[in-house]
Amino acid sequence: MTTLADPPAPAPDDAPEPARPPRLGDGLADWLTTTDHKKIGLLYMGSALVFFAVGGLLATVMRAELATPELDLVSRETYNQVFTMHGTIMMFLFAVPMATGLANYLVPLHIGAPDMAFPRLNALSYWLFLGGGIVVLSGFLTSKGAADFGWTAFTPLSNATYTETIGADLWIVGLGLTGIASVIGAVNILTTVISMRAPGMTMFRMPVFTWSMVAVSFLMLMAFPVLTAAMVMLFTDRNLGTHFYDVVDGAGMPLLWQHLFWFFGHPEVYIVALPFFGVVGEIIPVFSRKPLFGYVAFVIATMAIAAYSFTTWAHHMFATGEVLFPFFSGLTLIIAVPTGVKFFNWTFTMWGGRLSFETPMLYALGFFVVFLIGGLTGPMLAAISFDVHVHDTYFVVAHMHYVLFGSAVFAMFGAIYFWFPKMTGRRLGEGLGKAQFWCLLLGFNLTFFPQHVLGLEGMPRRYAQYDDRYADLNVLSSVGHLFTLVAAVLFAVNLVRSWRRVAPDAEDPWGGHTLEWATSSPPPPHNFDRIPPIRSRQPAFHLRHPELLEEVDG
Amino acid sequence: MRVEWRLLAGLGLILSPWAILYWIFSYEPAGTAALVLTAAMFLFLAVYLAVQARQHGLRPEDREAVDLAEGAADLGWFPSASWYPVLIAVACMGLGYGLVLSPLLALPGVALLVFAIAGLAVESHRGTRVRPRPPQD
Repeated sequence: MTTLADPPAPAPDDAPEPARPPRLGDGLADWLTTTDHKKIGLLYMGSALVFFAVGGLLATVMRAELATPELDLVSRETYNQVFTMHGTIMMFLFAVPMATGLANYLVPLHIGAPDMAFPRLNALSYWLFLGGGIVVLSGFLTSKGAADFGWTAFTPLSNATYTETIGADLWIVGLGLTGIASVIGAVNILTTVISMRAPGMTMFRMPVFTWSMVAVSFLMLMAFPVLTAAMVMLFTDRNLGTHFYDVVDGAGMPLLWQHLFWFFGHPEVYIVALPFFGVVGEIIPVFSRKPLFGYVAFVIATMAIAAYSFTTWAHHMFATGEVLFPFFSGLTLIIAVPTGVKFFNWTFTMWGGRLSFETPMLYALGFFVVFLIGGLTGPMLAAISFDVHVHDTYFVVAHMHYVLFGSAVFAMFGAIYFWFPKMTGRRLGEGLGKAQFWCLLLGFNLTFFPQHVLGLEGMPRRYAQYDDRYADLNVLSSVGHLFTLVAAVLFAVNLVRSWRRVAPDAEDPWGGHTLEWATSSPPPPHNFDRIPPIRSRQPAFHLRHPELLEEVDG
Repeated sequence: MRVEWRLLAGLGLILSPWAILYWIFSYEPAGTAALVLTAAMFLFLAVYLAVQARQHGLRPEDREAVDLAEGAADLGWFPSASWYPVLIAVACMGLGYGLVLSPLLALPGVALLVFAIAGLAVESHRGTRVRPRPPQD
């Protein structure tokens, strides 16, 4: 039980726990039974990073195989499993849980709440996600291997005739579980934001990251049930003899799967991207020493993206020729507008600011550049006359990686470097962090920029062997991947090194604006010993500089 | 809660015309159903929150100039720890493996699921089964 105002005089028990690293075996039960949103957030992020490593190693297998035109490392069947599981892991088990973990940790701190609205439901959401992830990955332990129909599992390829493996069924069931976990998490975040804000924390004073998570929760609530339903139908088609996705007596429709999958799949892209837009919206103002330019426009743009993301699903299906071309082409162009608004927000926040380039800011700028390139190829693909030529080529692979890697990896590292002091009371090394950033930026662009060209030249995706004329650019791409691997190692080293020492300046190393910087690092149980008065969008900043309260927007 | 319900109503209202247009021009049932239901669910939530907003008026967190003390109240029950969430997840995994591999795994999964959900439901009346660890140091 917690009351917010007028906290009792802190008894010795309530004193913030001194920061110390958790020791192995020290209360395993604590972590298994915890309902503390901060611990659950850390569990989410830790698990997501582990899955990220697994997915990354699968990418290494792919790049190694593709370094030469011949088939020399893995069999075609294994290659199919590898790219399928790479996509599945990165989308469902890394990007979404990483955002959910950040939200778990930050949303209650951002709005001045002692915990999430439903702490046990929160724990359930995490454990269901982990269970689902384990079920999906256990496909590798079966005799015929994991699912191998691509992460989109198009029917009829994924039906029992063409894919008879157990791994495919495990994939369906496991993703069903993670889908349910996401819906539970979304309900929890929405309830927390709607009913647990501190007095004075109006909706239009919330940090933009929390706003983004509100939008993401709407998307999760509406999109994941569609996926779960589609998965149930696929499962019954495969195992119980129903005919939703094949034509029997004129009923059933293979294209139904694509409609349902992409009705989930396109909002899913924004479920991955929006939280990291929010992260960048938090980082850039702090390192520009200015409040976010056009806060209200940013929020409206976020909501517009959320709404319109439901109307663009079939732009993934242009090549079928069976969808309403002008509708989806037009709406895909429309959704680029609110995304563009955000680039104005970020640009004019930096404009005239007193910029400094610590590691989190570097990652935010890395996101800015990489996502912009990915964003520009988006409207190109919205043009049907262009899309039908590059559909299922490496051009799409490059576009998708620029968008998703830009947000879920660059902005994620920004978030980790930015909030690591808040979460642990420690600092990640700046030198290693910057080295990692440049390594990652170089490696990423070297890996994926040539793939635009490969796609335009006609190299299809998902093939383990290819024509000799594509060889040079593929070597370049594989070399680029090595730099990405080095960046990953640097990050791991940085994590381990930072753990040794509690940083004296971790309390608020960046001069943060939002409410989480008004409590200790790491925050005490139930987050705030005392909630500061909330009179603006930068309560932590105005706690340090009350004299500036009048000058900034309310 | 005025902002909240207007937000949801806005999302529903943006989507509604597109749902109608999509049906008129495509006659494609799956996408139309998904769009119409999405819009309807947004509006449904908006109506619920609008009713709540009318009942509660402006809460302390909806007002800009407010004393912290106005929000003082018991916020609710925050259990310090619980075994049931992880048990439910393990049960669901058992159920999942059971569906794919063999009903022999599904049955204990169902039993554990029933036990864990019941446990979770009555936990707030019976108290948590986990004793909080004494603070260290």
